[in-house]
Amino acid sequence: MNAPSPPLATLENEHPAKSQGLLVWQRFRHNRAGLLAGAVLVALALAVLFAGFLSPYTSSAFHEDANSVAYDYVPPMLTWLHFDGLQPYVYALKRTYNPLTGVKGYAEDGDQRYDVRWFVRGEAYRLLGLFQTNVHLLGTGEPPTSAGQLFLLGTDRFGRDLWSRILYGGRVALGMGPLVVLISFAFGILMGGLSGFYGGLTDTWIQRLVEVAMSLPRLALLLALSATLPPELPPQARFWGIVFILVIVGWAPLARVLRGQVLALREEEFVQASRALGAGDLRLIFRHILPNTLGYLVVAATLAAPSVILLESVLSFFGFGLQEPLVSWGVLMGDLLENFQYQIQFHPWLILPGVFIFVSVLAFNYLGDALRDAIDPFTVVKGAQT
Amino acid sequence: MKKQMLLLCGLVALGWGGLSAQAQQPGPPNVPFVVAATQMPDGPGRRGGSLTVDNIDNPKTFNPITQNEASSSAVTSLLYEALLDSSGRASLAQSLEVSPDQKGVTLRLRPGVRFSDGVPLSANDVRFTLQQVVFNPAVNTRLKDAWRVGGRFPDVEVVDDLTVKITAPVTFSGLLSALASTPIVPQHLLQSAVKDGQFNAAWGVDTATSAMAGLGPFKLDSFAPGQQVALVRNPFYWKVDEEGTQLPYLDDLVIPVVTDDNVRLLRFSNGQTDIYPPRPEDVPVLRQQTSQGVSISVQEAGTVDMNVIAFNQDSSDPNLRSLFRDVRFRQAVSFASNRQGMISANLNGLGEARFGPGISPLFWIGDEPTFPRFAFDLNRAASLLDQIGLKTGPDGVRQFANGEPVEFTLLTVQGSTVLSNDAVLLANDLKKIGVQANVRPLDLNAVIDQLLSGTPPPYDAVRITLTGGDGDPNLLRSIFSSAGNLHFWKFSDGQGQDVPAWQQQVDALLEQQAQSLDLAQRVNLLSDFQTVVAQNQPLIFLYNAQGLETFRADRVGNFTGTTENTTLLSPEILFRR
Amino acid sequence: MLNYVLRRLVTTVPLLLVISVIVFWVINLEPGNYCTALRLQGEARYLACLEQTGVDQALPVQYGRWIWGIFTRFDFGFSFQNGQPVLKQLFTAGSWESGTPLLWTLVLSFGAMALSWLLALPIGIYAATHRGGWREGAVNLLGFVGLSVPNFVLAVGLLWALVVVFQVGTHCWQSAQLAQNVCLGVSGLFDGNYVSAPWSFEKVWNLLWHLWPAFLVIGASNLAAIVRYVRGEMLGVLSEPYVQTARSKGLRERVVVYKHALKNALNPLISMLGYWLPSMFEGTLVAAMILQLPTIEKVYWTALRQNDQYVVMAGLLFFSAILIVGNLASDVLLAWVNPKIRYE
Repeated sequence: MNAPSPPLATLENEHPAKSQGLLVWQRFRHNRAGLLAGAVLVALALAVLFAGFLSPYTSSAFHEDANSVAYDYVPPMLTWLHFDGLQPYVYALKRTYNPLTGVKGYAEDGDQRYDVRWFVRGEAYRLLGLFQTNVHLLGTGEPPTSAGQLFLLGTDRFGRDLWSRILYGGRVALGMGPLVVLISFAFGILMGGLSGFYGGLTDTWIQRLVEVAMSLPRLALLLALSATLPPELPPQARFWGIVFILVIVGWAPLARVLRGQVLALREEEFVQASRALGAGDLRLIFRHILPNTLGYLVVAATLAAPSVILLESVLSFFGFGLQEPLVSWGVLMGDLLENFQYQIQFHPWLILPGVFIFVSVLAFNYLGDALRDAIDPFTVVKGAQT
Repeated sequence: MKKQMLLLCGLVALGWGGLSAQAQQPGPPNVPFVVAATQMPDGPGRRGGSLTVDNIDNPKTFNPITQNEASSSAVTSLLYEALLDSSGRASLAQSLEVSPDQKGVTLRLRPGVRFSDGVPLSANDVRFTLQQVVFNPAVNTRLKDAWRVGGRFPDVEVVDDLTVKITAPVTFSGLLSALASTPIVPQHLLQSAVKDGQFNAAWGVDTATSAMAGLGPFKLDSFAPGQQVALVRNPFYWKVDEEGTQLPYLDDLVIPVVTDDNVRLLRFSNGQTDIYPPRPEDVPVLRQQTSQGVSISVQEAGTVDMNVIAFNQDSSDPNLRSLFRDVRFRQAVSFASNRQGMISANLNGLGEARFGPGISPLFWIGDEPTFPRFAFDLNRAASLLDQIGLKTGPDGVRQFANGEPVEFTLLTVQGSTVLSNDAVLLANDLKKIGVQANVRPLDLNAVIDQLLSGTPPPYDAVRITLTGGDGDPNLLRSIFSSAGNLHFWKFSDGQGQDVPAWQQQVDALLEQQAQSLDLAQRVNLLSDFQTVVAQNQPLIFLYNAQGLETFRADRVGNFTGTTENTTLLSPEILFRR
Repeated sequence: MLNYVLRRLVTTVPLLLVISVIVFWVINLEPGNYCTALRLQGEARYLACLEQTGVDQALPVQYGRWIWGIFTRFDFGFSFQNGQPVLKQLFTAGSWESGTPLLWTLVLSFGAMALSWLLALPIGIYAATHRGGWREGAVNLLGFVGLSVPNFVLAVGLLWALVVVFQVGTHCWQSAQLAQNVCLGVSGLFDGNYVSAPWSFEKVWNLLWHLWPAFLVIGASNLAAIVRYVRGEMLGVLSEPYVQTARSKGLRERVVVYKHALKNALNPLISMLGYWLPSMFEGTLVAAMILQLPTIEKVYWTALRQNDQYVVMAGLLFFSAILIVGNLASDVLLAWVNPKIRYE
């Protein structure tokens, strides 16, 4: 004879229902690529947050030697990092000159050794944008004109440390993307949802608005923006101007697609059923219809955020992205693309910001796919218990 | 009798036919211009073959009078020519006589010269080009400024079919260079356009090749917009080499349109183009290709554009105004400008520091040891600022007497890394001596707007490059004379307010040199001009890039260089090996 | 449905007017105008330019005259740069041998888009139906790499690789048609004198050699995006209960995937169909600028930088019209694919 099934209350206590978030996390956990991508992004975010601390220098300091000659185009000193047991050290920088090609370079001066120390005092900066300090995680602790410098990833044409500039530049890249996505998605979902659900005049007007917004040429708007910002504004104004324009142009495609999906979903049986049970319009939209579009939204968001990063680099290529003294990965790529053939041959480390762009965009995409798989309850996720 | 008549008629007919046949036969005129072998670095060349040179953009027009961009002049300079060559000697004209009162010239044209469509050149074409085109108020051309003297244009008189007399109202030192820069256009093709008031639109990019004709070594074969311009030899060209071979040597010249700098270098490296005007940073890359036949040359004389920093001496902020008007401040900024650093950062070391106005090599005295130089010396800059009385505040920034920080906005043109780099370097150095300069890149139009609109103009300081054509001193008047319309750092000079003594001296010097035809006298006057300007630094001069040329020596013969990196010099003697 | 389509078509013209007003205002926001750069050469030149172009008149006056010209004479104005009629400069300048901007834009945009879709659909479906294993990982990676590299870096890097690494310029042959030695070149559409030569097999081969880098650059990021969307949507749809039902009814997998799942998975993609063309504008623009492709986008962009406003406005109207009609077409397609969708 079968044992009677335990009462529902007991079932609930022994197997409490998991929240949606927890369910998603458990499924997400099993996607190795997604986890890795997430970890990479978190690490990058932390790194750029503590940019000043993690690098020996600041992003705008020009480095010169004792004769006021810039330490321009120093190659990455990562390969010149030596270890004495556990103590890392570098040698002094020595200038070289190749008379055949006329190219100046650098070499290690084996006579002079500088230990890499932790928590050294160096150039002043604002930690997290709040406290003024001059403590850096690592460095040689030498005065600015000494020959003992630690340019981990090399320097640019002015002797500015590339590692510092990449970290500071990451703030724009990793900040602009999510910011634009957040604002434009909020607005786009609202408009698309309303348009698809109510149809009729609402749909007509909103879709015409969408078409106007989609027709506005993004590049022309950005060009006009960069030309009209009065010079009295701080350079950060340009950052917000670019965000503003990207939001204006970015909400429309999302609204359009969402409207299409809502149009299809509102005729589904489960929506009719909810309506019959007396659910109001807003409840229908937000609790029943929109969650079914989450898969698309996740893919779109994780495509939109990195596309902002890429767009920012395109803007710098055209010459009206962020300008001095702001730094971003796009601005750093501009240095390389000034004269690609020359730079890639003689100073190939200038492509490193591009590698950072590549890695973060890649990470966003893998993360997006993993999230999408985790959110959709019907997708089979290997290894997860549903 | 009948037979003799018949014979006579036949002979006459033959003779007539022969004559008219010869009129249609392409070839040089009876008295061609002979290019001496000494003018050809590689000696006389062989006829035939083609060369390819990239152009930076589409030509906007084929009209040599109205054209105004480098991309257009790169093409029109090959299709049309003036009566005198660039050093002011008769070339297309057979002879040039200056009148005894020094106010005019008489030009005798070379007999038998024909346009590229076979129609003979006559003095009427010269008069047409000058009176009905260049001097015509309805025609829009930069050449007008070169010809206008005392507010009037010279008289042009046709003495006979081959002789023209040009008389200016006063002695006018720019007469010869005006003649050298005005290409002669055919009356028979453009007369109707002038009559209809349509000259500005004539010979645009849509024009059929048969509707255009010139006196240059090549003529237009085809134009594919966005892709390339193709030129072919002008069969009626009036120059020959010493051996009597008609020039140009080349059969055709292909000019593709390539707007991206990187791609132009890549195409040259790939062997697709034969001549390439390099940027300074291309030189290390090109040096590696010398084994493949590439030849690079760095010229001593550099470009003559003016790379300057200007301060608005009419600023509406009284602190800044009195500071910028103080010559010690400007000299201090000159001391604080690390010219070598800028040359190293922007030009890969291929440039020369400048401390005075750029003038064509003929007049330049800036290399003389006695020339005033405010070379990089931060200590002297700081001590000058101390002298002015700017004390350093607690945050390291100097302060005016009323406690306000010494801070101003330094404008540059956005998208130009050279200008921005210089500004950033200067701002960095100024910070070390306690002056806060905020670099702001702006769109070019916005910058021009700030410099030229409003009295007083709204800007504080600017880093800008002014191109003065080929450095002809007469063009500098608009910048350095009190009433010049490009006197943008102190328009109040033009109203006679507060004009310093040195500025008055500059006005007088420039006026005198414009009225003198005596070269030695002009050199003296311009030397004084340069010294006064360099001493008072109304503009802080930075550097000039050295001229660079590159070509494939295994393919190109008789390459003599380019001007402004776009216009080929002496294209008629180029040949294909 | 017909009513709906007609109503949408009727609203196109007022919509275009609204867009054109906004853009005209935006492009005139910046200080200065087309003639401003001439001020550095002297006031006289500047004033003469103002007279010729009329850019100093009040904005509504300039706009009004332009619109009037369109409605009465179908005259879209003249380019300030070279005096050509705007429509000619944007679309028809050139010859039969060298092609026109309109031709090349169609070839490049449609070619790249078609290639992207042709490749991306099977890749995305494959990724969705063959979960797990290294194949899916490889497919994903390939798609993502294309998306993660900025397209101008890809363009310049590709050209550099062709010239410096592969040294394509050393591959030469004697062309029978041109009677000269021709070598493989980069950038542009043709090598040597093929531009003005009559069409032939040789010329088409040469053109293809120049087109493939363009397709690669334009298509790379689109390919990856489409792959991700297709995979995502297919995955979602394939795990729906009705698909399980279809499978358990014994339908073959291929029928399940293509006949049932694909149609619903393509919903968002169809909505976007109208947008793909103008959204490819930027990808095509960067490729055109670096690879020197004579397309409408390049003409448009040059005009934008120079404040050649009537060219910009006409180009904008062109792209907007395509977008609007494209959206309409995709709405119709959407309703056809999913009969449940109704428009009021």
